[in-house]
Amino acid sequence: MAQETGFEQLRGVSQIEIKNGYAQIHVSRLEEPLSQSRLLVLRALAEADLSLDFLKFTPSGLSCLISESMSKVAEESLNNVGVHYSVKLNRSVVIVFAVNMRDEEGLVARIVRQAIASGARIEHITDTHDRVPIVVHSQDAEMLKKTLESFSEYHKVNN
Amino acid sequence: MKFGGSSVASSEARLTSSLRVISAKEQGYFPVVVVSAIGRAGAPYATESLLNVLHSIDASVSPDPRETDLLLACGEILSAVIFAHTLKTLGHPAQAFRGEQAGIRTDGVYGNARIISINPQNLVASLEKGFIPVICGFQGEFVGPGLGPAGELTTLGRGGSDTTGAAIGAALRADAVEIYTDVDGVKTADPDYVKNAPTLRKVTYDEVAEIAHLGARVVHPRAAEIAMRYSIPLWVKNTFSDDEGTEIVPRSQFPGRRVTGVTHTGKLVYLQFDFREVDEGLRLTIEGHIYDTLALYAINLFMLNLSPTSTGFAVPRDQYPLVQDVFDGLVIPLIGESGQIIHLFQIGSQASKEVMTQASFLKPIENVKKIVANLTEGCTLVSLVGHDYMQQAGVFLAVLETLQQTSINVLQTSDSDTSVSVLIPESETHRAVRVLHERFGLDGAI
Repeated sequence: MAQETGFEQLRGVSQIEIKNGYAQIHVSRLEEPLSQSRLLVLRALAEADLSLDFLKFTPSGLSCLISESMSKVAEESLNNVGVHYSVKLNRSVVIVFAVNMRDEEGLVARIVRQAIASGARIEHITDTHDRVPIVVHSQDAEMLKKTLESFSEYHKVNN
Repeated sequence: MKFGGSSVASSEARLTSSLRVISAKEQGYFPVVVVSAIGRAGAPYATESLLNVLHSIDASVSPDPRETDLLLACGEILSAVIFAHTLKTLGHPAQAFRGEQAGIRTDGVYGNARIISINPQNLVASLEKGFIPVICGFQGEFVGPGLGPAGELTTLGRGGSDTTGAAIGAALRADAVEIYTDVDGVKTADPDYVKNAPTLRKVTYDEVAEIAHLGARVVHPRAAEIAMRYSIPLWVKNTFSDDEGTEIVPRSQFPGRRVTGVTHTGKLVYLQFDFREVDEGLRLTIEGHIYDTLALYAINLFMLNLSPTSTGFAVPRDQYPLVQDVFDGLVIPLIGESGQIIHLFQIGSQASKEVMTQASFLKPIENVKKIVANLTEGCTLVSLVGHDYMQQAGVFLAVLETLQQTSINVLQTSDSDTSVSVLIPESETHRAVRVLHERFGLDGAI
């Protein structure tokens, strides 16, 4: 029982993953009041049984990510409510794992800085307790992953 | 068994905590105790009180991190010695251990060290001799080149005592780690906001880590992470009640789709930098400078939002003055396609004295572009946390509809696999937490 035990993961980025197969929806030029119009759009998407990720309010509407295989369904439901929208296919999510990143002050900013510097076309970034998911054009996903792997705070963890 | 500040704050509290330890021993276990410093903010030996002793000498001189750690560790040393002696007076011999005596080795970062290993041989020897080991939470030793044989004392930063508890449990291959506090366990919401918020009987490590990340720090995510890696059941219990508490388990032991709780973070300030005036070719450079600067000053970011025409994020209110100080009136000259362009930053819609002064100096220069950050002060983040739930169609709609029906203005949203968050005016926090708690049926959650 008295052997030495290793513990916490090294601070910084421990793993980077790519998830493909998404489409980005941008709904714009919604009528005022915006909050009502956004609900109208969300209701239409919910009734079409669409699961949304990365929902963001934009100055005149909203944007979100859906499974690429559901893009036709999304287009149909948005046409039905008659709003101005665009659907961009070939989007990927690059997920940057960094355990307990909130207590490493400035780490999130350093990851974002590195991602911007990579030149990848970034659509969206968000954060949870242990990861920073970055939505990018699928063509840029591998390049972004490689750039982030060269990040000085990347310490690959095999577990 | 880890006892937080309130569980060791008074002789009565220490007696109650000690009786829990003795009860475990009488049930045939070999309890090992980890203690926090005595009392919470304001108490004489609490971390903040000790730090104030240094600041009171001359607030303009920052204490050395090494000396600060030595001072802060005193709170836990006092607590461990007093707790061990309390056990002894009750007829149960106990030994107090500092972090390094318990075999805790760290990576040497003063004030925010991570545990790299534990050699529990002293603890095992103590148990074999019939003692109850009482370990100082929040501290460990860094042994590195150029240091003396005794190594350097380092503290573990936020959640340090929880982390010590989980790590000691893992090193000893404990049956369970119990974290004792002054609430019954992990609640579905802050009881100050939802009076009868139920105690969750079981949650996964992921859920509790996300709940902690989004504001409710019942168990620190570092402790949950260690318990998860070593598959040690983690419990959160109330020292002062017989409630069974909350068990924290792996996903495989508690599958299913559910809403776990509603959390709220502290006070935030939201900034949205508008790049519409900026040359397309320079936008990424400027955005890069912004995040470089935020990283340089170790600013914590929430609700990141990058778009082709703007970049936005929320910062904790206590870090906002630093952000304002750095960016308001900042001048960045860059070479664009049309030659040199001067970019002048302004925080908020009204130009401050700094911005006006810079603008007047820059008047003779033709190519000056203003980058204005729209400012929303007094915000907070309210989040719905769940397990295999957020991917369902209509979750966003339900959250936003509920808030709109209550006339709560949502400024921005954010989501992950385990949570949906909304940025709202801080004044609406109580109402938002309550209506979402009710809407998602958490009043009857167990």
